[in-house]
Amino acid sequence: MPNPRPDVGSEAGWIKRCQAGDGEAFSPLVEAYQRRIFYLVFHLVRRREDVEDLVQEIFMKAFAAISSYNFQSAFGTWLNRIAVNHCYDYLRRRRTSRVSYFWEMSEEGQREIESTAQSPEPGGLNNEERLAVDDLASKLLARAPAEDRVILTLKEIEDKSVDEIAEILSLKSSTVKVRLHRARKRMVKDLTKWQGGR
Amino acid sequence: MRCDVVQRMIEEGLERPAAIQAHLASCPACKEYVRQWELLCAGFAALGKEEPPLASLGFSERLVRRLREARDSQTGQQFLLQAGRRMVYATLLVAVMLILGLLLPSSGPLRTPWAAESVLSQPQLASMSSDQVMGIDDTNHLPAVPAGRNPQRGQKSK
Repeated sequence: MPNPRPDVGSEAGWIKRCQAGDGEAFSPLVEAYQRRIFYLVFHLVRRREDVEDLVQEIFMKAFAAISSYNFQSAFGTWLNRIAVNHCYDYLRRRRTSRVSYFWEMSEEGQREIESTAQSPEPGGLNNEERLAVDDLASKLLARAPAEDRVILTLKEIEDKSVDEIAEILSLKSSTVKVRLHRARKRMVKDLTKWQGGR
Repeated sequence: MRCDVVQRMIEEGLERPAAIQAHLASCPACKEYVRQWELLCAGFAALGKEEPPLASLGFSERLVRRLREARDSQTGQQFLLQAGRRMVYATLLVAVMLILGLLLPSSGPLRTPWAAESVLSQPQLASMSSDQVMGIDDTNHLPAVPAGRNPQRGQKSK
């Protein structure tokens, strides 16, 4: 992440002031965490035009709920949890549909992806191919169910550990592993299905 | 080795021991799975490198201002809510008192002798009035019943 963690001692002080109702004390917390939340929200929703509004709503929610923060987990993890839940609701509202998973792609995009999918070594991709796989993953993620999208983004794009994901999603690590495997499998299956259906 | 186990190990990015290599060599489905998974991984890696949009200028100041406004309006709303709730309680109390006042007339059947007269027949009244409690005869306290006040009295006595 681009932002280093703020000093924990002063962070606790700001949080306590916020818990006492001091709205001004929230400003340094916003400054410290906004970049991280921008990354997370952008990776989860992938709509540039909505990211800032969503981040603002997330911080509003966080401030409203800050009295419930009990210092047991890191403030960043607590904030990530709020962000993920908020984005999850947003994705569900947008009703991304699994049924239309493949068929909404533009013909150009399909051609590009098809050619890339036939390249045997993804490690040795040139720029054009890299753009195509970026597009492929983006489109497949955009059409994945919200649950799959959240868990795959946290693991594969945000590079969080299973334990971190478990903490953010309030799940057991074993449950995260199972869901992750299912989501990956569905993603591969959908890709294969798309390629086979062409 | 089961395909599911092999696929999980591939997904986790773990090293591929000889058993896995042998399975992949003999199982076209797993081989294809690995190919597709690697393609997706390349896509995820490329997505991870994308930069999110920058926060617009004054983002945190605007946010804190919005928080302040939200808190102020919340305080106002709480005040209105409390005042409104008290008004509702007061109105309900007045309404209940009005209803009770209408349902319970001031001259109920057992409150005055006049009312008792309209319910009880004359002999019953007489027997009641002749009852003495603690040696006190309260017949004298009963006012005289005006003639024709109880039209059923005569019929019942017959």
